[in-house]
Amino acid sequence: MNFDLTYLLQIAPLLLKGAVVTVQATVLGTLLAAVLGLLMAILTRSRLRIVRYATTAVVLFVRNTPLLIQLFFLFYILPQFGIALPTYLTGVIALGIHYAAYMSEVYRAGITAVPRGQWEAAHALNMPRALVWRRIILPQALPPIIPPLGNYAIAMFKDTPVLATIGILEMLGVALAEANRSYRYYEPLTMVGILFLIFSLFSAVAVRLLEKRYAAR
Amino acid sequence: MLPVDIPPSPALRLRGVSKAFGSLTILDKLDLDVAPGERISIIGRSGSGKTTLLRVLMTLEKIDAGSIEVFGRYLGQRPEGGRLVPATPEETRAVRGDIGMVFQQFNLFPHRTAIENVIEAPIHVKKMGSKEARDMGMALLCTVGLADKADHYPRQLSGGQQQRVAIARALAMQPRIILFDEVTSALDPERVDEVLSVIQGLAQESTITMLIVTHEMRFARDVATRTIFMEEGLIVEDDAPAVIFGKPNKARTQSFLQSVLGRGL
Ligand SMILES: Nc1ncnc2c1ncn2[C@@H]1O[C@H](COP(=O)(O)OP(=O)(O)OP(=O)(O)O)[C@@H](O)[C@H]1O
Ligand SMILES: [Mg+2]
Repeated sequence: MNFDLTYLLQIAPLLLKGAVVTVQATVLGTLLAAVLGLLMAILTRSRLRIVRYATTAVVLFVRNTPLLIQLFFLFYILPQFGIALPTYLTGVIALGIHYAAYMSEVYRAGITAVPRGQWEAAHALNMPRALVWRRIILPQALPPIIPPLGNYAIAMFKDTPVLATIGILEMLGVALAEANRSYRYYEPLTMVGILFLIFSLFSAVAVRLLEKRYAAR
Repeated sequence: MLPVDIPPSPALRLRGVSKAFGSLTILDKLDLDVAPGERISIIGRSGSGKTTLLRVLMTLEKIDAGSIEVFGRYLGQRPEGGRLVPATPEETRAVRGDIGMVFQQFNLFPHRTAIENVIEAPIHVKKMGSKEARDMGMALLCTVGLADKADHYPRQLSGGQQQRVAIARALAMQPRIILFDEVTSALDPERVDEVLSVIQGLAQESTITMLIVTHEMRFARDVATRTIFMEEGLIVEDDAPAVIFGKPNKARTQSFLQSVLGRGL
């Protein structure tokens, strides 16, 4: 079986359209994960024990169950409880929640690295807790953890093919649909692999640059 | 009927204040009254509970029993019918606002310049205008001799300079009571005096109430109007510095001073 370049060029626009969906889902998923993850990290330091325990339990649960199952749960089971979300949104939410749990651990590490004296100095200046978080703790906790957060964004990117299982036409979804139509798997799948590789390498370089920049401080 | 005979409420009134970590009693039913304007130096061996006493006053630690009043208002919790009723966070913050603290490790905010450290809380807690805050902050930095370092980050300052910024930062909130916890212990020996003289200057020029925990015995004697010797969570002796450092009444005070002073001040 030989590799047909003409065919590849023919389906390239289609695959690139899929790539746009993939990148979009990654960006939206990362934004959601970054916000949710931070929220989880803050809640695990709540002064209310029940909030701490509940958040820890959620994080533990999400981290220890497969993304695919979480996606299916949102896609197949949630509608039975009357919560029917658009398919694309369901996919983004699944990615966001799953990676939020991982990112929350990164945030937690960053937050824990801020010396206790910072909390105490802020307390002694009578700053309310929300202000301490916003102006004292997070500005110190976030810069060093931007690279590891970036790595999770890349990991999420490589996980986006699970979205094909609920019919989202991201890169793999598009490729599979094309393959099923033409009975040719070689070119579409190779192309998808190469596109993933290119995007991942670029992002890895970007993360490396971030690392350099924030390590310099 | 003129309100001339109302005695001013004490700056601090502690009654039966106790604090334990696990089974270790750190503060043992402490009673203490501090009048406004008093400057109290607190001395004692390592582990005697000096830091814990200050931390309790700063509400960095919760007390297990007893009560603390700050200018007549209960701090953190108030006794009611034999039980301690916790105050709401808002009440606690209102009372805590009378107290400021300077730490052994400075604890400046590393991502803020000296002046930003000083005006952070006045702007965001007291809602002071930024121009007004800046003027006040610069005046305070001037007082501690660091006007020229206003735009330096903490990492660009020596330990002594950082500690002086920390003092300016605490003063910027205009506390009526200020707590100093071994503020020179983390400094190089040649940086100690610049910080002590700032505190001396403050003592001379203001009527702010001070509680000063220190291992610098000469400073403890000279800056204070009153000295407390603590041991095992108890106030063993509480008297004028001249008495404590001259001829203390308690044998335990004597033996402590002998061990730290050797031949004398
Ligand atoms: N958070 C804590 N948990 C457990 N034990 C503590 C805690 N904080 C302080 N302690 C203990 O309480 C005791 C008194 O500590 P404290 O810091 O008040 O003493 P100190 O008089 O300030 O001593 P130093 O002169 O060394 O600063 C010490 O034995 C210390 O180990
Ligand atoms: Mg101490």
